[in-house]
Amino acid sequence: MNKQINLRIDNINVTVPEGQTVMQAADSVGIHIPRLCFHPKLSAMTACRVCVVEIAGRRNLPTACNTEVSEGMEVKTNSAVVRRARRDIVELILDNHPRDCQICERNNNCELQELAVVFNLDKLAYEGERKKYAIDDSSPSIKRNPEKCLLCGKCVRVCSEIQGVNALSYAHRGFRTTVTPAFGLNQQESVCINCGQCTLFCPTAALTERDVTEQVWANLQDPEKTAVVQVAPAVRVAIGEGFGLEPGRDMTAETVTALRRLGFKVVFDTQFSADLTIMEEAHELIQRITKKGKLPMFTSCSPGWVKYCEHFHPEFLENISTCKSPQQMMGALIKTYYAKKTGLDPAKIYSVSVMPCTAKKFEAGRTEMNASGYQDVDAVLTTRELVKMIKQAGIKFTELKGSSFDEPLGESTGAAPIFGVTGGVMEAALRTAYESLTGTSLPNLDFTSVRGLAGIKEAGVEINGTQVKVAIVYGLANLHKLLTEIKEGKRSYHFVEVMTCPGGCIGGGGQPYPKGVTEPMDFAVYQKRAQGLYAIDANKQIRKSHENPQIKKVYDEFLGHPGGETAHKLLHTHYHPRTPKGIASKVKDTVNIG
Amino acid sequence: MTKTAKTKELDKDTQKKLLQLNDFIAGSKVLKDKQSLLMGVLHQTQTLFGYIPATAMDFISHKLGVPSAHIYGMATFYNYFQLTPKARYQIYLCKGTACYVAGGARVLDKLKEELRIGVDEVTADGLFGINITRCLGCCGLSPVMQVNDDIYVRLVPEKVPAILAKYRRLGQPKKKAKATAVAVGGFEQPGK
Amino acid sequence: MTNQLLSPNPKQVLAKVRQNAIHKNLKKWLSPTRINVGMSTCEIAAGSKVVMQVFEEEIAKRNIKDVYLGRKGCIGRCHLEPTVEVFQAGHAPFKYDNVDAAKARQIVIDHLVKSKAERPQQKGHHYQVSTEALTDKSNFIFGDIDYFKKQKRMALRNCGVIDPESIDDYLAIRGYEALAKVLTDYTPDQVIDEIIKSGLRGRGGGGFPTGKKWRFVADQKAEQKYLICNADEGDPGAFMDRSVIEGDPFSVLESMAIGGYAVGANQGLVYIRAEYPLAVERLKLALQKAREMNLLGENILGTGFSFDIEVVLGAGAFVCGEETALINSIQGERGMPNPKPPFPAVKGLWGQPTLINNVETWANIPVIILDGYQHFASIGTDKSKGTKVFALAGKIQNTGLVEVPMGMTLGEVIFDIGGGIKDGHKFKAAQTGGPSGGCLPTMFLNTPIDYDSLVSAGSIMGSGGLIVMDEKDCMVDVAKYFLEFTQDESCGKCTPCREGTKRMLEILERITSGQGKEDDIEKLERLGETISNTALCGLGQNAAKPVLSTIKYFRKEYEAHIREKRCPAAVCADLFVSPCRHTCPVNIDIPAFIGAIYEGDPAKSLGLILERNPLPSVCGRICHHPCEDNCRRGKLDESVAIMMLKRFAADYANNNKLELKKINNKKRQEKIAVVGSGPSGLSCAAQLARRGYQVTVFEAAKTPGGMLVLGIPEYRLPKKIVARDISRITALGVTIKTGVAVGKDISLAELKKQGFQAIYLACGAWKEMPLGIPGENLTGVLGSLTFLKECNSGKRSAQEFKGKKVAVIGGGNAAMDVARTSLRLGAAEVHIIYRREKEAMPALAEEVSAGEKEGIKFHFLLIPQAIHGEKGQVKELECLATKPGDFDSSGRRKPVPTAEKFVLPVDIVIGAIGARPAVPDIWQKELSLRNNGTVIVDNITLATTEAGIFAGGDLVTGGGTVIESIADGEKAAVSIDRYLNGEDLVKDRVAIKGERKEVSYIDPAAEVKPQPRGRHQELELAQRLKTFAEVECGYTKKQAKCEAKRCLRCDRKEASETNE
Repeated sequence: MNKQINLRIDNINVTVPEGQTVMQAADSVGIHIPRLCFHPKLSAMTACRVCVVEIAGRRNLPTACNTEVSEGMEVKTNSAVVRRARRDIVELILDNHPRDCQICERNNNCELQELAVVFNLDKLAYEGERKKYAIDDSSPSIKRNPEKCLLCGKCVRVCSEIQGVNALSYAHRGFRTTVTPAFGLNQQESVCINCGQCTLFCPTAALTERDVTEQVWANLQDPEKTAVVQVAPAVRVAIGEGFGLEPGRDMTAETVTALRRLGFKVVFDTQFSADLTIMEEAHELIQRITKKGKLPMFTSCSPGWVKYCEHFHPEFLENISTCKSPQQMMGALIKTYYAKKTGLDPAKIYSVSVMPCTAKKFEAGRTEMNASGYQDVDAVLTTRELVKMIKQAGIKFTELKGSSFDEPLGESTGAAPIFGVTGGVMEAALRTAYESLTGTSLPNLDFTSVRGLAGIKEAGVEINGTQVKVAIVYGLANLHKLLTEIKEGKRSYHFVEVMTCPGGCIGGGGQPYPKGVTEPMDFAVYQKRAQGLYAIDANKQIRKSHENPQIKKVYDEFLGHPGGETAHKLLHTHYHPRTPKGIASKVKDTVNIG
Repeated sequence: MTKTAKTKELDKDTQKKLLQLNDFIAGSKVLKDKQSLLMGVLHQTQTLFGYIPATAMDFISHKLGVPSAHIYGMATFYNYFQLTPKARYQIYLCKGTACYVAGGARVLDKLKEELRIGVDEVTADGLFGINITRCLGCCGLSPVMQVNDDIYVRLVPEKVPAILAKYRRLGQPKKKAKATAVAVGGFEQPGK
Repeated sequence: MTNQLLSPNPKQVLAKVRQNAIHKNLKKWLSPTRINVGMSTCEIAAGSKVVMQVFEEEIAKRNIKDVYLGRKGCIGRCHLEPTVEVFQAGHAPFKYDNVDAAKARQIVIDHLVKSKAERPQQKGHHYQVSTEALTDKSNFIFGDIDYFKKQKRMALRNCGVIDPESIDDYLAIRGYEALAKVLTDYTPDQVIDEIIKSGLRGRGGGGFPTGKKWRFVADQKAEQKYLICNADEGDPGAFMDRSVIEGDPFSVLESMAIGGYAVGANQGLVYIRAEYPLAVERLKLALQKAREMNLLGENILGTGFSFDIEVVLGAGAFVCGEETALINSIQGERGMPNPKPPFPAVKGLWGQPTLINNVETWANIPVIILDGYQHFASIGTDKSKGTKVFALAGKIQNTGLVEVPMGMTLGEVIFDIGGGIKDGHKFKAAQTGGPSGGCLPTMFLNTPIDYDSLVSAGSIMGSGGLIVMDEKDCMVDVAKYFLEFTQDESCGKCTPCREGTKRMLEILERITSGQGKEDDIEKLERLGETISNTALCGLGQNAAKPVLSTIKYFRKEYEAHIREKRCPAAVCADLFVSPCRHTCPVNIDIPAFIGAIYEGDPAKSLGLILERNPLPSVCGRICHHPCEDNCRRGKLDESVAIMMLKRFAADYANNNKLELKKINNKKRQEKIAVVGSGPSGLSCAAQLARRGYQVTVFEAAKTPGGMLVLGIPEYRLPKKIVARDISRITALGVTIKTGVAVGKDISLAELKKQGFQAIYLACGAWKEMPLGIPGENLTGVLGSLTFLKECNSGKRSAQEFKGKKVAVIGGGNAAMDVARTSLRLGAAEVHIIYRREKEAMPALAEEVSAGEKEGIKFHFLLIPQAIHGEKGQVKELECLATKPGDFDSSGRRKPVPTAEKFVLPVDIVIGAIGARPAVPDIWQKELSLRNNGTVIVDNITLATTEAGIFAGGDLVTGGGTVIESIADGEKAAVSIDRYLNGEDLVKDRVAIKGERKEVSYIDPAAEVKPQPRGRHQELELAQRLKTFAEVECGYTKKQAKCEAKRCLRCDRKEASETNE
C-alpha cells in the first residue's frame, strides 16, 4: 500500500502515497483548493463542488476531495475553466443566501463570505427566488437559520458520524432541500443533545449558539442585581484565539480582569467546583465499588452526554453519577453558601457561567437545577459570546493586567483544570479515589495512560489489590459503540468518563470558530489547548482535589462531608428517560479502543 | 416495549394498522440489514394509512433501528410518499412529456382555477386534491388525468368542469362519511 | 454435477418441464378459437377491462365452449387501444382496434355465434391450431401490419404474444431455454464472452458495453455479489420497461438468472417504479411461478446453481435511475447519488460488487444466448448492435412502442413507422433521451439512430423516449418543461444541479412570460456549461441539454420571445390572450370581432378588423389563416371558421361605408413613396396615411392591387372586392399612380429628389422560375404568373384552351390557381404534376380538395424530364417517377428519380414552381440584394442598407403569404414613422398582447358540447366551370351568428379574475 504515485499539479511534480486524494496531494505542495462540504474527519460528500479541478483526459471537472491520484495524472487547479466554474458555483450558493453579512453572527468569519471575496463576486447575475424559512430558536442552546444553510451537510454528518445522535437530516429534495430535525419539529422537540458541534462545523451562520449576551448586559447594568460569574477550565486556554492568540495560551488572569471590567461583581472559578465534583464523585465511586452499587459509574459533567443517555440509553441512567456538573455545583453554592455568607438576597444574585459548551445553556435551564430554591445558574455564555462582549466593551484583552478569582469559591487544585480535556476528570478522580481508598499518597500524579486524544481509551489502575478498570470516551458515536459492548457483556468497567465533544471541553461547541484554513476538530489545535490545561495542572502546588483548602473549608462550614445530607441536596440529582426516544446511528469505525 | 407504551395513547384504528405494519415488517425478508426494508415498509405504511403519519415513522424507527430524522428524510425525498392525508377525490394529472406537449398544462391551469388550489393541495372541504404525476404510461391517449381509479383521456380544459361536477355530486350526500374517508386516505371508489 | 452420466442435464430437465406445461394446456391451446384482449396498463386505461368483462359475460351467457379467452401485453399500438385479436382455425386472424363494449359483443356474434360461412372473411394466411400456436401467433400479429414491417422485435419479442401471467405460455416459446443452455453448455466465462461479442450496450442511457460490465463484476473477488434490474423507468414519455415487465416478465427473470450464473451472484433485485402497479403485480406473480417450478431459487434445474430475486419498489424519484442513487434507495437511504468511482461493479449494494442493467438490456440476453451473438451482432450499426425500443409520442400519427434495428434513421422511425405528423402538420423537432437529451430539428431526420450519432447531434439515446414536435410546439416552452422536470427531480445534493437548474428555470420562465432580457440566452449557455461540467451525477450533467440544444437549433424562437414578446407557436400563455390573435401576423382582435358578429353588430366587427388590417374583404377570402390552425376550439372538434366570419363582417358591414380610422389627428407634411400596390404596399400606405403622412403609391400595372388582382383568379377573389378595400385606402388621401414602374421609369434617387423622405419597396416577386428542362421554349409552355396575369387582364381567351389538355407543374397555391383557371377556360383535361406525395403539397388543403372536386387529375411523385413537341408545339410531357428519398431541410422527403418513365400527351404545359423578385438592374447598385434577387433588410425594422428605404413582402421573402405581406407593410409603416420622428427603430417592437374582456354570453362552467363548424354555401359544380364567378358564397347572417357562438372566447376574463 505504500506505493508512491507521481503526478503533476499546476505543472509542479508531486509524489504522494497511493490512495491519497488530489486535494491532499495539492495541499502537500502548498495549494489550497477551496472547499465547503469537505472535512477530513467526516465521510466524503462531494456536494458543494467548489473543489472541482481540471484533470487531463476527464470529460467533466472532477472534485479534488474524493478523486484519488493516479500515476501520470495532470491536474490544473487554477485554469480558466476551473476558475469560472468555481465562481459560478459560489455565485449560485450566494444567490440563494441572505445578503445580510454586516449583521450576521459569522461576519468576517464565514467560509462563504471568504469565497465570495476571493472569487471577485462583485455582482450577481442569476438572482432569483431565495429560500424562505423561519428561524428556529426554540432550543436554549442552538439557533437554526435554514436560510443561511448551504446544504453542505457537515452538521448532519458530525451529528451522525461523530455524535451518533442524528438529530438532523436532509429533508425534501431539490431546491426545497433543507436540514431539519425529524418530522420538521423544532430543535427543542428533537433528540438534539445541544452539544453544538454543528455550530463549529457550519461554514456559515445557519447553526449558531443561542446568544444571551444582551440579556447578560441588561442584568450587569441592573443596579438591583449582583452579577456573579464562574469560568470553566477550557475557556481560559481557548479564549485567546478569539483575539488572535495561539491556541492553548493560558489567559486565566486576563479573563478574570476582563469579567470584572464587564461589570461582574464577583468572579469565581468553575475549577473550584470541579474539585468539589471530584470530592463527591470519588466518594460515590468508592461507595458504588465497595457497596456493590451499579457499575460502571459514568461521569455526569457533560450535559450533552446526559441528555443523550436520557434519549438513547435510558437503561444506563442509573449508572450516571448523581453528582451535578461543576457548573451546577457552583451555581447551587453561589445562591446558598455564598449568599448566606455575604448576606446577599439570592433572588438578587445574577449567576452567570462562561463555558466552552452550548449544552450548558440547556443544563442550566433544567428543572432539576434549582436546589437553591432559584434557578441555580441564570445565564450561560459560551467562550465565543464572552469574546464578543469583551470586544463590545472595547477592552484590549491581550494587553490586560491579570488578576485572580474572588474568594471563597476561587481556589482550585491541579486536578481541576484538566476537567477540560478528555481523560482529565478520570485522572482527577483517580488521584483522589486512590488516596482515599488506600490512604497512601500517590507516588506519581500523572496518569498518562488516560491522556491523549484517542476517542476511546481504557486503563486499569491497581488500588488496594483490585484492578479498577476505567474507560475514557468522547464523541457519542464512540460511546454508543462502548455502551453496546458493555450491554453485550464484551466489556466491563468500574468507571467511565464520558465527554460529549471531541477532545473533551477543549473541543466544546461553544469554543471560538476555527479561523482561516483551520478546520473544526483540528487535533493540532486541540492538542495545544490540552497542553495549556496540563501546564496549569503541572504548575499548581496542590494537584489533588481533596487537598484544596477552600474545599475543606466549605465542607466544614456548610456542606458537612462528601455524600452528606446538604451535599446530597445541593450537589446531586437524578435524570429520567426522555422522549422522543432516539436511535443512535451506525458508528463509523474511526477510533480503536487502545 | 415502546410499541405498547406508544399505542396506548393511540386510537384503535391506528393501533390496528401499526400492528399490521408490525406483521409486515416481521414477514419481510431481510437481505442485509433492517434499514433496507425502509422502502417497502414506507410503501406498506402508505397503503395502510393512505399517507405516512409521523406516528408510523416513529414506530418504524424503533422497529428497524433507524433514526427518525433519517426516516423523515427518506419519506420527504420520494414524490410517491405523502405525509398528509389525501383528498377524497385525488386528481393525478399526468405531466409526462406526451401529455405536456398535448396541452396538459392548460388542463392543469383549468383544474387550479376551478378548484382554487395549487398542486399538492387539498380543497377546504377535503373533496379534491391535485397531484402531478410523471407519465401514467398512456402517452397515446394524452392528455391524461386520473381521479382516484378513474382515468380520463384526451382531455381539453373545457371538459374539466363537467368531470368535477360529477364528483361533487357523488361527494355531497356522503358528507358524514368524509371524515373517515379522509382518515383512511380517501381510497373509496366513486359511486361504489 | 457429480454424476453427470446418470442425472439429466438442465436442458433435459427443462424439456420435461416444458412438456408438462404444454400437456397441461393442450386442451386450452388447441381451442378452435382464441380471443386475445390487451390487458396492459395503457390498454386498461383505454377501457380494455370492460371489453374483457363483456367477452366473459357473453361467452358465459351463450354457453359457448371451445373458446379460449386470453390476455396479452401491449403490442405497442397505443393509438388504437383497446385492441383485440381473434384467432380462429381456418381463418385469417382478425385484429380489432379501439374496441368498446358494443364492438366486443359484435365480435362474439360475428365469430362465435354465426356459422362458419356467415363469419366475416379476411384475406391472408389461415391460422392453424397447433401446439406451436404461440410462435405462430406472433407471426400473425406482427406479420402483415405496416407499423411492424420495418420493426424488429427482439426485446419486445413476447410482448403481446404470450399471456404474461402464464409461465406455461412462456415455456412454450423457448422460455428458459437460454438459461438451460448456459447451465448445460457454457462456463460463466463463456457466457460473458457471448455477451461481449454480441456488442450489446446498456439500453438505459449511456450505452456502456454490457459484456464489459459483466466482466468487471465477474472479476471481483467477493463473498457476495448482487444483481440489479433497474426498472425505475423515470423518463416521462418512455414506457418500454413497463411494457416488457407487463407483457413478458419471465424473460427478465430468466436473464437475471443467466447474469447471476455469469458473474457469480446468487441474489438479484428488481427495483421497479411504484407507479406501475400492474407491472409490480405481474412481476411478483412471475417470481412466485418461477420459484414453484424451480426455475428460480435453490438448485435451479437440478444444477446446484441457486439464484433468487427480490422486488424493491421505487417511490417516484427520477434520480434513482442513477445507479448509485438506486443502490442508496435499496439500502433505505435518500436516493442521492454518490460519486463514481467507486463503480457499483466494484463497490455497489452494501459495499459488494453489483451488476446493474435496465429492463430492456436484460430482455435482450436470452436472444443473444439462443440465437448466438453472431445473429445479434449482425443487426444494427458498427458500434451499436441489435435493436432499440422507442416510445413514440407527441404529435405523431402512430403513438406507441416501436422496436427498430439500430441505425434506422430518425425520419424512417417518425414517418415510416410513426406515420408522420398528426393532422398534416409539419415536423419541427424530435426530442430523444428525455430530460437528459436534446431536441433534434429537421436536419437530423437522415441521422441514423445509434448511441454515437445521437451524442454527436447534441442529444442522447437515453432510455428511448422519442417525442415528436410540430410547428405548434414552442421550443422554449419544451426546454422549460424539461428543465422544470429536472429541477423537480434534482436530489438537491450538489450545488450546480440544485441551484443552477433553478436559476435556469427562472430565466426560462421569465422568457416565456415576456420578461426575458437581452443577455438571457448567454446566461443560459454559461450556466448550462457550468452545470454540465461540475454536477455530481448524470442527471445534473445532462440537465442543461434540452436547453442548450434548443438554443443551438431554435435560437430565433428564443429571440422572438425575448425581443418581440411573441411565442411563434402560441404556446406560452403569458404572452397572449388568445392564440388566434397571437398568431395573426397583423394581430387582429379576433375573439372580439367574432363576439361582435354574435351580438349582431357586423359594423363593430369590421371596425375592429380595420384597426389592424386595411384589407378585410381580401383577407376574408384568401388568407391562409394561421389563426384557425391555432384555434383552441380545434382541439375539441373543429376550429372556428375565422376567415369566413371576417368575410361576413366585411361583406355585411360594407353598406355602412365604414372608413379606415386615423390613428392620430396629425397632419404630416412628409411625403412618402410606396412602390407597388400589392397587399404589402397598400397596407403600408394605409398605415402611414392613418398616421397623417402624404403617401403616393407607384404601381407599374394599369390597375392597383398587384398580386391581388393579377395573380389571384377572379373566382377566388373578385376584382370588385379588392377595389372595395382599395377605395377605403384612397379615401384616406393615399394617391395611387398606376403605370409607373419605379426603377425603370423613375429611379429611387429621383424619388428622393422629388421630396419623398422615405420609400417603401413592395413590388413583389414576379419572375417565374424556369422549369429547366428541354422543350421549355416550345409554344404552349407557359409560366404561371404570366398566365394568371394575362387571364386576369383578359388577354387569354377561352378559345385557346377549349378542349386542350393542360399539364400544370407544381404543388402550391399558384399551381392550383392555374389548374382551376384552365378548367374555367374550357380545358378538356387538367393534370397536376407534383414531385412529392400529396401530403407534402404546400397548397391549402381546401384548394386541393376543390380542385379534385372540379375534376383536376393529380399525378404525384413525378419529375418532368422533357417537353416534346411537334412543329414547335407542345405534344407530350415526359416525366420520371420518383420515390421518396432522404429528408430535406424542410422535413419532407426529397423526391429521387427512378428509371420509370411516364409520358403524358398534352397541349399546354404551365410551370408553377415558384417565383423570385424581378428587380430592375439599377437596384443592384442602389440596394443590397441576395443572389436570388431578394432585398436584404433588417428582420425587425425592414430597413434596407440605404437610409430611408425600407422593403417588405415577397420582394424580401421571395414568396410569402398575403397576410404576411400586409404585416410587413405595417411593420415598415411603424419604422418609417419612427424614422421620420428620429426615434429608435428597434426598441420595444413587441407583439400586441391584447386585453381580457368580460363576455356575458359565455358560461365558463358550462360543458362545451361538440359541434362542427358551420358550412357555407358554394357555387354548384356545374356552374362553377362555366364562369369565373366566386365559388365560395359566405355565411348568411344566421349562419354567421351560429358559427360565432362556437368561439370559446379565450380572451374572456376568467371567473376568478372578475371576482377578485
